[in-house]
Amino acid sequence: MLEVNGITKHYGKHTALNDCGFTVRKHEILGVCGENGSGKTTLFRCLMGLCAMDEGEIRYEGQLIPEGVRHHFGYLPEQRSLYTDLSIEDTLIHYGRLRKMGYDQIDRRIRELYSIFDFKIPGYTRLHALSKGNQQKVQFMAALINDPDVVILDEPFTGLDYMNLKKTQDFLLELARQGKCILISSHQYEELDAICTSLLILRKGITMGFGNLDRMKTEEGSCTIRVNASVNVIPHIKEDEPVTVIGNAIHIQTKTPQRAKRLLNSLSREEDVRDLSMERIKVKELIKARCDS
Amino acid sequence: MKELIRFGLKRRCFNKTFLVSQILLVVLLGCALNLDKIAHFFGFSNAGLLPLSYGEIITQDRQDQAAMFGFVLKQDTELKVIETDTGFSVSGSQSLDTIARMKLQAYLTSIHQNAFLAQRHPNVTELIMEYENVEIDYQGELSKPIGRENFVFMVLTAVYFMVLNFAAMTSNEVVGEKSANVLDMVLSAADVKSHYFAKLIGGWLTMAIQGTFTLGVFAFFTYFRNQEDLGKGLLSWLSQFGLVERDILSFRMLIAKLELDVSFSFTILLCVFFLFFGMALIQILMTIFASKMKSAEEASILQGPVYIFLLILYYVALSQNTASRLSSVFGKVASLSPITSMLFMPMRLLSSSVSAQEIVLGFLVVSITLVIVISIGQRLYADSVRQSHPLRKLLVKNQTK
Repeated sequence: MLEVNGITKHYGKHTALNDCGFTVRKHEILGVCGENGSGKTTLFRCLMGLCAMDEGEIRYEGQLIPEGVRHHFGYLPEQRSLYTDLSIEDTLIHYGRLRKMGYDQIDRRIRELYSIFDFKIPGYTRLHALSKGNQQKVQFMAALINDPDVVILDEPFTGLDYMNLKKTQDFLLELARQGKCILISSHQYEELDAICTSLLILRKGITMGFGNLDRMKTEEGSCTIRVNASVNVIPHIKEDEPVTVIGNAIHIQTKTPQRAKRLLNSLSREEDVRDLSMERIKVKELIKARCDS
Repeated sequence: MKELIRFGLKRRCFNKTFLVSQILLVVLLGCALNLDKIAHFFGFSNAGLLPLSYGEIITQDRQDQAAMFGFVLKQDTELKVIETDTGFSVSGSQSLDTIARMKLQAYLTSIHQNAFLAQRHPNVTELIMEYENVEIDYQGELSKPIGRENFVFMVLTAVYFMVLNFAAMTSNEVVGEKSANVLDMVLSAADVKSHYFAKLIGGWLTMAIQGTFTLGVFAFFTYFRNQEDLGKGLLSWLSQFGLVERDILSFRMLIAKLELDVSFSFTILLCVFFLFFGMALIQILMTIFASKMKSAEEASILQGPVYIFLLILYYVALSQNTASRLSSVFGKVASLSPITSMLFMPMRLLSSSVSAQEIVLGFLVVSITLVIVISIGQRLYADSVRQSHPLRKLLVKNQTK
């Protein structure tokens, strides 16, 4: 389990992170969300020891992590952080060697990662010859070369096409199943929604919310009923329930899940309802709600 | 750290740019050791003849006579001969070696004798006395013989360029990695301390590799030149420019002239140590400053003043390159101070005698400074790279107390 207590970081007079704390258990995927400048990258850099904390402590498996290299951690930075004049193989070998891995071990791991990421580009190819998405894959592989217990990913979905994005999501879910602690930041909230088990919401360095994603959604209460019907649905809706029309569908927002279920039942009895579904609050709305509050 | 050093060396030494630069170096050294042939190829046929300005009208007879003694007559040359009432006055800004001086003496004596024989003389004694004696007045720098000063000059110049190159190399690398965000990935796998020392050691090893390669190529071409003509052609060509003495006719003689005995070898070793310490100091300081920079543009702004400082230091050192000036208080202080000692101490060691106490003191000063700079530098580097402020940590600790 990764425990983070009271991390504070200042850049001059600006407070980038203020008393941030959370825990990530094994098998968990924590989504770190917030607008630009909310402190997500600073948090990750502090966790990796790339940025000195002014206050706070980090524990892994109950042990306080000292300054220096986090041997159990793997980190994927937001920007491309590779020597583009190197070949894919040299890059991965270099990071493997830095992680004190033997050449045989690195070789096996490279083959494993190639297979996981369905990567077919020859190892001798230089990075500058790769597309943005493939460079991202190589960086991803470099971050995971030592099979870390804690995986920290800053905007990992950037530059990936739909197929690769899905593969990456599946891979992260597989990593979680293997018992890794995973931390991800992303502005692609729908993608986070699909894989995260817990959520940390930051705003200007302040923690606006942290907890199990399911519980947070339940606490927030709000649900959306999506209905596509030729009948008049207005009689079913309360006056204080906002309604929006998107395409052919009507979206009705309810305050509680109980109310949403009742509305769903009453609408399902209508004969001319073509399509009916209930969605709990989305991560994007949850963040907005938490930040507005 | 081993991996970081290995990786750094591989990146520096196994790429196209490095390969091209080494090929260029081989070509340059090859050319340098065959300069006489190149000069001949391009039509500089007066190789071996020292240009001399003497008289206004240069006839073929006079030119032939001068050539017999190893001179070529030209207008307004650096070496000038003027006839005086009592004999000749010779002036020039460069010193003359023994052989050149002897040749000049013989040339001017022959002119004097030819002129003397054309005159009437009252008695035989006076004839013999005046026929044999010609008064030659050497002025200015001509009175000084070429010795190890040339060697000192060459060493200083080489050091200057080495400092510029290697001090900037490590700092440029740090800035490059920082601005390309490579440091984030590297430091997530290796600690800052290892990275810092790997950079410094990598820089020194690169310098050693480059130095060894250069020496190897130099030795290779020297060997073949030695097999060909013992280096005679090259040395006599270089002597025109005062770079070697005219009486040195082979590489063996050149080495013998340097008097590379145990004492002088030790002196060279001391010079190398002082040079290395000075370079290391500049390299570390530039690396620390570079770690605070965010872009290559900022780094180049930093390097400007450092280059100017090194340039000023170089010219000041050259201006002080005489035994008397180097023995002054300024010379002594500069030879014992960190950084300036890398130029002044070798100059003093090569030009004048330096007491053992001064050498030990100089060593202690520079070694202690190096240790302090390395240890403070390590912390400053870590703080810069990890964007922490030592004072803030202190304040936070005090607040919590």
